[in-house]
Amino acid sequence: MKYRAYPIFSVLFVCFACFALRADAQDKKPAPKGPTLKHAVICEGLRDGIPKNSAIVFSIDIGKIFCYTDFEPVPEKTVIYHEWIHINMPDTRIKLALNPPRWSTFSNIQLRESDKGPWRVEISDAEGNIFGIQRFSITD
Amino acid sequence: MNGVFDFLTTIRWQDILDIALNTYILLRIYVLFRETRIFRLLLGIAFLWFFQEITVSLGFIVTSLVIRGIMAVSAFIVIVVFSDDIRSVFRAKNLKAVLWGFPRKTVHAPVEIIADSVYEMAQKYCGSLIVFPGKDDLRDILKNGIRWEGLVSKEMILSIFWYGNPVHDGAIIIQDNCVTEVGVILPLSARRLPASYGTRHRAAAGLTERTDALVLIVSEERGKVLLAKGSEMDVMSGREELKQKLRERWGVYETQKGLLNRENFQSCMATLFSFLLAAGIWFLFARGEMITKTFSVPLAYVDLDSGLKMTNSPIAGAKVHVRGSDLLVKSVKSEQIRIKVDISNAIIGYNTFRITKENISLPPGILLEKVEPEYVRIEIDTPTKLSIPIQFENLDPTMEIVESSAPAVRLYLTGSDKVLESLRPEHIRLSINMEKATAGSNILSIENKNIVLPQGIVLKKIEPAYTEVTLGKLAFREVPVQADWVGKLDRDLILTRITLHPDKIRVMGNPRILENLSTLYTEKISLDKIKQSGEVAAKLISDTHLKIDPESESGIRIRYVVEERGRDTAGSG
Repeated sequence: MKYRAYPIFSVLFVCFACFALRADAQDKKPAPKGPTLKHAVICEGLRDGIPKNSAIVFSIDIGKIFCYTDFEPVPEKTVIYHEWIHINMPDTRIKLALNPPRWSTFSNIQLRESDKGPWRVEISDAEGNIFGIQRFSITD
Repeated sequence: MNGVFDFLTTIRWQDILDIALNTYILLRIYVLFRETRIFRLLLGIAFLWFFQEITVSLGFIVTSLVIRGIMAVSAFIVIVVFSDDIRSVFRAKNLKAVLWGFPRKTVHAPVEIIADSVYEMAQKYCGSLIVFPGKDDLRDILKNGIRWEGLVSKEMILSIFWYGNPVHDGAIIIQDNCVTEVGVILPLSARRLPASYGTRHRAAAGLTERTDALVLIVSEERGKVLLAKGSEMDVMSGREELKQKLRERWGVYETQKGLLNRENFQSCMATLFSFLLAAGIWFLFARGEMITKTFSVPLAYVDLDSGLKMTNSPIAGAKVHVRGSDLLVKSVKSEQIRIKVDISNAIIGYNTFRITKENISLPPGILLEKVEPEYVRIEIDTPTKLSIPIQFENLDPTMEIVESSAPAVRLYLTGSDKVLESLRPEHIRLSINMEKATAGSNILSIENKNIVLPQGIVLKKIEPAYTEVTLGKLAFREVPVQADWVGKLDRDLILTRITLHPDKIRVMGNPRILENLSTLYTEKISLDKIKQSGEVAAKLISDTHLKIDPESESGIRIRYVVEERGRDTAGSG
């Protein structure tokens, strides 16, 4: 009686160890990877969802400029931000949704006389991780 | 009794000396002038003064004014009319005779022999001149004397003045009972003398005017005997009168043991009288009815450093409460009281000085009760103050000044007006060596050696004398560069791409500044002349807080691509 109980305890121990290892393996499973910025430009406009006249310098006369971003892959539904910054001073922060598996999106700003000067658009996720920076200038 | 004791305890040593000195002065005046007409006039003036004081105290205005006028005229008379007498008193007497001693002479003079000899010569019309010196030194006055040193005898005197004797024309000098010199020539008097007087009389008068000597003259023409003393010359009526006059007027007394010396008695009485008079005057002035009076006295601030100035207006005067005898205090005028505040030790800023007894000058006999205010406050400054920035030198390149408690210091400067007028802050250099400074807080002293001044400028004060400088370690970071385009690009062109070399710059600076620094911009690059793709160089906009990698300081090369509008440029960037 004394030694008959050993196999039972051994089986229970092995089962418990397997369960514990499995649970640990589930915890360490890598999180799904975020969206990847495939392409980003600053342009004068969009035609059929495609950026038109992307450039580095824009005249104030065109009135509006766009920041076009194309993400692929987009693993899951998420949001990104386009933060428009004029000479190191944040101007506008625009929240944009991304949907899997691929998603293109854009933001735009209306140009004013006081907007002349160097600009940049920082494209980042909700946690502030920057995917990329687009630099350009607004001139006469 | 207690009153007398209290009075004696208040007498100072200065008071005793004061009375003693005045006693001495009065006594000397008496001794010098006692047998002259001036003395009687001086007594008269003293009496007038006393009488005038009484009239003033009684309120007799006109009488006091008249007496004052009489006194002024009397003083004028003494000086003008008796100028010869005054001159003769002071010219003949040596310093010792003026300051000390009585002109008396207790001589064992053979008065009988002299009187007999003189009258025998008078009977024979044998002219003679006999000098009896007093206290005065006759050496500078008498001339051509021949030493004799012979005991006085009738035969000797007669033989000296015998007309056949080679020295009979001169005078002889008798001291004690000895003929010391013969054939002496006396100075002649310049005074107007009676016409009957000859050269012998004029010589006798010349000596007696100048000295206290007694001169006996025997007139050769008239056979008369005259005795000259001072400015007087009397004819002797007979032998007895001569003996008496010799004793009375010259003080030639034969010593008589057991009898009170009359001259000593006179001297004692004169001394006592002088003392009582001096003590009386002193008591009148110093210990009359004590009163208190207040004077407004201007303050004199003295010995201020020539390079400094008083900026505020310190109190101009103080109230001085004094005490003293009624007579003295009433005679004091505020101009006689002076307050000098020694501000030689004054420093730049506010200074408080106490007005003490030592600062206040009072007339003699006046005592200080109190002074109001007791303290004066003055502000001292320099003519010029300049704020000079500190130049921190030899700072470790990997460190920066995070904070300085005194980025500039104030210098208090003096110098000539001309130099100060043209002085500018840029003419002064103030540097501190930071070689040994470490990261964190550093207390650094600012001393004269840190400051280089132009010639002629003197530094009086540095404010503050210390500065606390906090140093921080610099951080490094690579920062992206962005071109700053301006102007207008041709409407038909699009600037599609640019490449910057380098596109990132290594900068060094404060970690907090670097943390927030996301982009460095170039200087403005004009688009106006761009017609096609090309390359342009531009410098970075410098930031004083940042140090840029020296390799990048030369500039950024920007290669740009320009395309014609209308082409598909969607994929570029």
